[in-house]
Amino acid sequence: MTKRPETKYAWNGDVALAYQVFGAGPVDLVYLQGYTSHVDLNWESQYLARFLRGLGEKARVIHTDRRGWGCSDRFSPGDVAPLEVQVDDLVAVMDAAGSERAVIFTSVDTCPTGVLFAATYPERTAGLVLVDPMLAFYDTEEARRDWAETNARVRREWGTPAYYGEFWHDVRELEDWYAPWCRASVSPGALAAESDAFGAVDVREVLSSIHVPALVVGNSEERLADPIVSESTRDAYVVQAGISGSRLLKSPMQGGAAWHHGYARGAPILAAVGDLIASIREEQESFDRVLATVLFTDIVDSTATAALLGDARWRRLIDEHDRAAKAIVARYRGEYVHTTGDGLLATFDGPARAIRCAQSIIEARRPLGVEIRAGLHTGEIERAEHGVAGVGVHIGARVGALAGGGEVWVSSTVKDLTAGSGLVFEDRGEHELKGVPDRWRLYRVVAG
Amino acid sequence: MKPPDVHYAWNGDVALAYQVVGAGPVDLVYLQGYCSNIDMNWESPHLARFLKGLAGFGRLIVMDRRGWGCSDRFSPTDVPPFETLTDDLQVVMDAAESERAVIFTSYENATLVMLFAATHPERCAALVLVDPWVTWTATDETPWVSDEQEWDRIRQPSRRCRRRSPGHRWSSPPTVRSGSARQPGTRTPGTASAARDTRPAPTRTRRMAGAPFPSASPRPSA
Repeated sequence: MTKRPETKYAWNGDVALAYQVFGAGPVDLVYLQGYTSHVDLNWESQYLARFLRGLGEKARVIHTDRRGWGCSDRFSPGDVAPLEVQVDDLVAVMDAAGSERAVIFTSVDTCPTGVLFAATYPERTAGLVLVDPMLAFYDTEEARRDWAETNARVRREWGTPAYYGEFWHDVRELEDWYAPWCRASVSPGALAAESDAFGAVDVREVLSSIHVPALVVGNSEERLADPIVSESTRDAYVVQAGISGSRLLKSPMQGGAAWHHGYARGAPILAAVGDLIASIREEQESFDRVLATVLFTDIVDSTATAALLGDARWRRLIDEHDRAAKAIVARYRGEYVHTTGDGLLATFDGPARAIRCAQSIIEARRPLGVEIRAGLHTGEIERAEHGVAGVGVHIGARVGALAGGGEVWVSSTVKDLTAGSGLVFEDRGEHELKGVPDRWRLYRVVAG
Repeated sequence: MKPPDVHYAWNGDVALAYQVVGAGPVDLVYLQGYCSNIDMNWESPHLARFLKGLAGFGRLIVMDRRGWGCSDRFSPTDVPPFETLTDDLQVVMDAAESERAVIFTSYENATLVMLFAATHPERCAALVLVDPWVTWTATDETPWVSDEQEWDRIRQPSRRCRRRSPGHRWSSPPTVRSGSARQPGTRTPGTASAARDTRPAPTRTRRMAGAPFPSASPRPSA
């Protein structure tokens, strides 16, 4: 048996909701398995345990049982909570697990909860995974009769081999594990009562309100030819069509727990979840990319000057320069990023103010006999945790290195964006910038 | 050994899980207190051996009571009255086609079994009460039982408890602890805590004292 993570409880009022936290990754993922689940015993299936561990390699997984199932508090068969309470329960679990935002992974009959959660709390939903979703439990008179018959069968046969014989012929070899796992996950009175209550649920109208990255896993066409399979999986296609921008993965499976039938069936789902997480991370990073003007300054002949002044005086000069430069950057509404040893890196949202800032820094230091040069470029930069990054930053540094003492050099982008500012530029021709593709036309600021 | 098949008896909407093991001249109902899951009870080699031993005496009917193990649970806000639990016992015996049985029970389930025995003496061949509770609240006769204040104190940690088996932190039941503390999911903390809130008044079980059939109440072994 796989070592399982510690089970904890989140409380929604009087009701305890069991959850486990494991794995690590750039995002959180709430794993709410439908039909059926028991967070402790899920680890006893080698396939399911392997699937869970796979998810834990991609994300910090919050593995939870819904109200009425597994290790979470149950309800009396006459006291089924409405769907919105299950959405609240997810909020309570995420709060307890310290998760602001997560990918919500649901399957089969927990999918309505996932859909409703994503539509109600988009700010807490990083993405949505719906495996073999059930959305409208019945929408025709015939479906209603089928549903009633299924529930009668639950009352008659749940937890006995007869119940699984027809639906779960693929997992018959797992019977020793599977039937006790089902019995521990949910008892037949509660299952039938919940199914009766949720039979009327239809979340199709909500699909168009979902604006988060979504992955829908539905059965492959050949499996859909099987009437038992198609009945339970037709919704995937409706869901995928209903959620704009969602991806449909066709994967052979029976019921939502494809991974019970062997690892091969779980692997494509894991890979698709990995793709979803990667795209979410990419998107998150794009939010941190901004257009900015970067300014690099440095002291000309700093090595010679340092040797001339001696270490102590050089240190004082540099400290004095940093203080003055920081104040000037602030005055021009720039953002001081960090020192470069004998200069600075700052970013600005306006290129003309960046040029005037560079000129001020140069002017302020001239009486002290210190020659400063400056380079600027306007481009996309990434705001990282410590400073800024991206090719735009490198270009700014290379431009600055070409300037002479007391000069401000800029890329053509800066020149083009400052038209009308009164600044005058002198063309200094095309240059290759070390480590940066293409040739770049550079300009020296001559007046302003 | 492979655990016996689980069957469900229905009391209205509520399914009650039971197993039938062995055969013999006597029926014996086994209703373990604190905690139980009739599937997983067989995973403890000690408990499985004990159950097999009991099955050597007759036809053994192992059951989980409402709210526990494989039987239907109740909402934390919907704890059933005690007589519903005695009805459940009757329903399981009916489903297992047992007219009359020796009833083996332990710990807190002793209260409901005694109530059953007093109400339906014709269906009780005998009682075995292991470490029985007769009351849930201290009385003059049972001053060692927790009083209201102590229950309040006990309830709180059970609500805060973050571990899988909340029960073993409430107190130390000497006879069932070793067998039950490791069983996952025999009970959830909300229902456990709620059940304490609605425990029956002490006077109801006092009347059970003079049950008119043989009974044994073995001392828990150390």
